[in-house]
Amino acid sequence: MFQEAYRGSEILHLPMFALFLFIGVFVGTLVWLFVFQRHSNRFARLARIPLDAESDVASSNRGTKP
Amino acid sequence: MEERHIVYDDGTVRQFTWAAVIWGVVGMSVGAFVATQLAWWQANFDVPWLTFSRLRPLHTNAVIFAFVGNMMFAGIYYSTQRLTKTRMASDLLSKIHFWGWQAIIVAAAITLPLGYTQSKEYAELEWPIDIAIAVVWVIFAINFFWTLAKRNEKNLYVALWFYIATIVTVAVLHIVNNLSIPVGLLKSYPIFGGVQDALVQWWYGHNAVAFFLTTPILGIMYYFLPKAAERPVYSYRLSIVHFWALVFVYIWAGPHHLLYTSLPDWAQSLGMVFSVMLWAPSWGGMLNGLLTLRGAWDKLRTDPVIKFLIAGVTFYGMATFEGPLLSIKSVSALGHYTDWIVGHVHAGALGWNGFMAAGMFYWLVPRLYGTKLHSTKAADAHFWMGTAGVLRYVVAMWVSGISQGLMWRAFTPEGTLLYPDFVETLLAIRPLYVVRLVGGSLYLAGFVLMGWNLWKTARAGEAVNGEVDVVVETREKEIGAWGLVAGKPVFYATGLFGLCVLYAVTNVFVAAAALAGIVLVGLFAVLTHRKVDGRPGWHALLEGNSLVFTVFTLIAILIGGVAEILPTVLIHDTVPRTGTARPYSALELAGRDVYVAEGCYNCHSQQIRPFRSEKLRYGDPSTIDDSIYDHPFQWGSKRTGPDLARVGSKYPNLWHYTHLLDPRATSPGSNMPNYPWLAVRPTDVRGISDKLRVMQRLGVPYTDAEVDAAPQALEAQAKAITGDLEKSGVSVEWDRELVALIAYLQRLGKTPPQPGNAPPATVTVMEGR
Repeated sequence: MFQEAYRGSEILHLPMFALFLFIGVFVGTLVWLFVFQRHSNRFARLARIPLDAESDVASSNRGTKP
Repeated sequence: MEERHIVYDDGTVRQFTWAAVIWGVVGMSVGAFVATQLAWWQANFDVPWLTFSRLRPLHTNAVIFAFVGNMMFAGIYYSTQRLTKTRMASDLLSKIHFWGWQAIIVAAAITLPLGYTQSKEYAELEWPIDIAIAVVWVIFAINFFWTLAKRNEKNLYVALWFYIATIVTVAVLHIVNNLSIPVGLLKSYPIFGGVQDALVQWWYGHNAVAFFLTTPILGIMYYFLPKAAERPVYSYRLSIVHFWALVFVYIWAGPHHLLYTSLPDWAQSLGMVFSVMLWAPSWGGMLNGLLTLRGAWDKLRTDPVIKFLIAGVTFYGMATFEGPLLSIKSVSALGHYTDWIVGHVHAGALGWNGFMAAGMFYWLVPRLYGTKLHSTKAADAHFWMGTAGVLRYVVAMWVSGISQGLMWRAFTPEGTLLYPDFVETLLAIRPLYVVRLVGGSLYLAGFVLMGWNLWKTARAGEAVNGEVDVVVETREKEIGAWGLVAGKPVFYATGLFGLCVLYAVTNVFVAAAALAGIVLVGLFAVLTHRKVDGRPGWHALLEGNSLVFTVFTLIAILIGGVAEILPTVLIHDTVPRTGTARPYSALELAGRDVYVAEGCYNCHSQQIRPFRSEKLRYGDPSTIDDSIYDHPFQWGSKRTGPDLARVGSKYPNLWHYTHLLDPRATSPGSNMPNYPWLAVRPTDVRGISDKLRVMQRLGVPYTDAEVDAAPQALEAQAKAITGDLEKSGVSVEWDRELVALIAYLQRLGKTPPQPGNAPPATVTVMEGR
């Protein structure tokens, strides 16, 4: 009974749509990154954020706000 | 330009770190204890709150939410402050978050062994604790997003994206899966039932793995691995693809936990397809992590931090290869319900989560205390103990799972089951349970060694807070709230979402137009971007705007969740309930509550798959109607014992009575615990009408008369069972939990006819109806 109801449900287009949407966005992102942005230096700078984020300075003022 | 001096709040990081270590020891110790119980049933000690079925949820909750939860909060608090170059927005909210989370863990540690459970895996906690979790999570979210809003770094580094996805998605999952109606202070019934509850639960359950055990740890990987390797992540471009593909695809994969069940085929296939698709982003992320170490592989020999992080990422690769493999229907047919799944889960939990935690702690604690690691040798010893332990564990479970799966489906030349007695298959794998215990204990010993090493490290130093001087570019013009919500990304997102809705409610021609519209919107975005030089691109705009980024992430996970769950949930109202399904009697419902409270679902499934071997062993395959009134569903995910979907009338009442009090009296070799307290504890007779009333509100077709007369009906059916037992010389009072549980078990797989229309299907069940 339920199986038949599911098979006849119009709303099952929704997963198909979402699947194609994902594939479109995924391919679009790849094209954007590796075609349009292939010469961009911006990503190299962004990748270094963790390495630039902190100095070696450390203090013992526990929990004190600046 | 303005120069600012920032002092980070590392006190909260220290608190979460120690909490993770302590709860890790507790959670894994409980794990070793329940592993002992599986090998030697005597370790249950006939004590209710020490019984396997109650402690197994405590183990999973402690390891997931207490150990990994505290670990990820430590990593998030530490790295977020450094990546945003600002202190956490509110010290008060940080404190409330920490102590609130610990209070929740303590509440779980008390209520689960006492049998207060919703019986939904990894979401067992009852409604008051669920509300507390939601409140604390929102406090964490406010603190986090507030910190992002006041940051001194323009761009959001990739680690922060994974944290955003975690916060947003866990909130959605937790709230939807725990929607329920209370029937008491620590008892509730979920609003979803049967197949709907199964789908929502495994949408949650799988994504608890995805967005609690994976995405935050990936964020930690993207921060701590470059820090430890002292070189940037291998490919930032790949990290962008990794993030968006992962958050979109992961959310769909839940139904692979329900392959060959009565879940509609389309949902099963969808879950399988998206699970297989997960291979790509998962391995993309793994390779991005491993290749970060390019040119510095020599550190693997000397640096314990690198050892743990790289081994952790390797286990991530292994687990994310195995997961999609197990999601293929033909592989699932063999592996599901067996220990193979347990091995897969522990490869992820011990190898990925545990090793990433260890790597982070070994890097973090010396810096949090301004000193060096106490013992590198001890850390190395921990690494090898951990590696040997997890490999021993996983290999034992692989062998056990595949062996048992093959034995369940083995036939004689005549076409009958080669191992018709379930216990035969259990006895065959019992030695592997001992090997698993040895492996797990070895891993735990290594973890304890780490705790000692970190403690000695902390004692040698002094708690310090990180500082940094930052030069902040003063913004010429602050972006107002309107500017944030009226930007192009929101415009595009709104447009896409509108088209999605349009698609959902109209026909296929509008759908084609909608897809074309989406392509046009995308082209417009790219062309617009190309025309203006010097302007930040699409993703740069996203990375600079946490609100818009969060909106996009939310849309990405909602598309999957809505598209997959909505058809199943909405079908509830369009199918008339004129089928053969009948609600449980009052006594059966009371017995079902006992079944839930004792955690029987931890070892027994109630879902017969459409295989010849299962039909011969258990009966006809399960249908949706079988569990339509089950709030919550009890399909289970593991068969340490046999499936119970059609156990009703298979054995007499006396068999169940004997089996529950002493399983080995009826099933020699069984490792099931004794449940002697069931014959002593009274059933909640007075509250049964309230329970039926709540079920009525949930759509179970009880009449008002049935609700009002529930106590009397319960008593009548219970006395019929005790009368039947007395004929065999067994005396038990009618209002004991044991009687209710027998009534429930005798009902499973049996659909009684409308009262007064036909003879009873079973003497026991029908005498009381």
